[in-house]
Amino acid sequence: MYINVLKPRVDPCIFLHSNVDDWLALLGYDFVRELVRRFRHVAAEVDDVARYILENPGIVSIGLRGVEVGGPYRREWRLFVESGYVEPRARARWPYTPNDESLDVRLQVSPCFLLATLTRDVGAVWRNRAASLFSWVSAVPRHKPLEVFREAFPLWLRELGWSHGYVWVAWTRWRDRRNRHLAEWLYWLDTGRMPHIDAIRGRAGAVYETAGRTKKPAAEGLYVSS
Amino acid sequence: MRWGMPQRGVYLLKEVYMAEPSEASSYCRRDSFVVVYIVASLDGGLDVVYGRVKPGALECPAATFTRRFPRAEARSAVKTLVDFAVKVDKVPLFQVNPEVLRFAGLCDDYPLVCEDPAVVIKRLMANAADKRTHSQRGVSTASGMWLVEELARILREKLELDSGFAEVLKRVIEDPDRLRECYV
Repeated sequence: MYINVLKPRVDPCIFLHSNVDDWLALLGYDFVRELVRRFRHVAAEVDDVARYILENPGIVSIGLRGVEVGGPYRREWRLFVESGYVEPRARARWPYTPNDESLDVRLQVSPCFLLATLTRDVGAVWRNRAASLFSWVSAVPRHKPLEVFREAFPLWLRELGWSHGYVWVAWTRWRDRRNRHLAEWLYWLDTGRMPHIDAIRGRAGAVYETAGRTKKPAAEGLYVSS
Repeated sequence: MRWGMPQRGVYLLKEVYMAEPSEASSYCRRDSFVVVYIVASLDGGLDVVYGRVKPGALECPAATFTRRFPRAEARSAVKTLVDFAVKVDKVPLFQVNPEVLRFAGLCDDYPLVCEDPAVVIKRLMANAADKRTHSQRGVSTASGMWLVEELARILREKLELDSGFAEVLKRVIEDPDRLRECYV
């Protein structure tokens, strides 16, 4: 009975990751074939499926209903497939740089959370943990979120990522917490890819390229292997 | 047809608009009601369920009608279900879960359900600008009317469901500024 179990080597966040080669490498051909089969009524091949899902992230869990998933990430996948829920936690690991700056931006939700079905409870999590988002958008966009957020995010915040680097942003504070979720957002808005999946694929250089701009340049030698 | 509730599946209506099982049970104690679920079952394990009572401990007898569709016909399957809900059962279109419509690729057919009103208005303005440039060239297009038609359809639907709404509408038309007072 375990013949048809799919074993992706990545968590559901892959659906917000716009690099299709990574889909094939991490989800595996069987999973991708199943995806194409399940979204055949709207898309003909993998590229179309990837684009369709990136434009409408809320629908993946509906399309995946009933899929058997195993492998190291099975717990997250089962939760996602059966109830359409993805944890809002940040996935990326950032090399430590001492940083006492604090940003007055409450965004403690990963972009992955866009995949979660927008029930009343999920809406409450958005409102509570990502309160700052709602001064830029009126509601969580369900269609083309990447474009919407690229327009909606304030420029000074994007520039913070460009000038200081994502690692620096990740270690700034919001009250007693770090802004690791915010760093994921900035990386995702700039590249359309998820930082932790880039890290899995060995693109650590792309993720941490800005580490040199941080206050502790020695961290670069420690964490970046290119 | 099968007695009992559907085992699994995605529900067509938004959770908020579905009745609680306990609420429905109180009805069937008085009369002999049957709760009906209609299921479009897609090959490979996705069931789209139309029913007006949330799944749960239900005291009424429940009947499930299932029809199988191949995967490639997901679009028409969901469309049939929505048509049934809206036309036969007179469910307002806005109770339909937009994510299900989006999955089925039906957003072009029901734009106001899927899209944010702001997006619809922006697209309409773009259309209007388009149309103006067209008409300057002497070409007339009748494609900009879809929003007006859609709005008229929604108002009609609203009136069908609640006759009191006609009175509200009449007052708003008499004095549009009164509507603004509601938002202050």
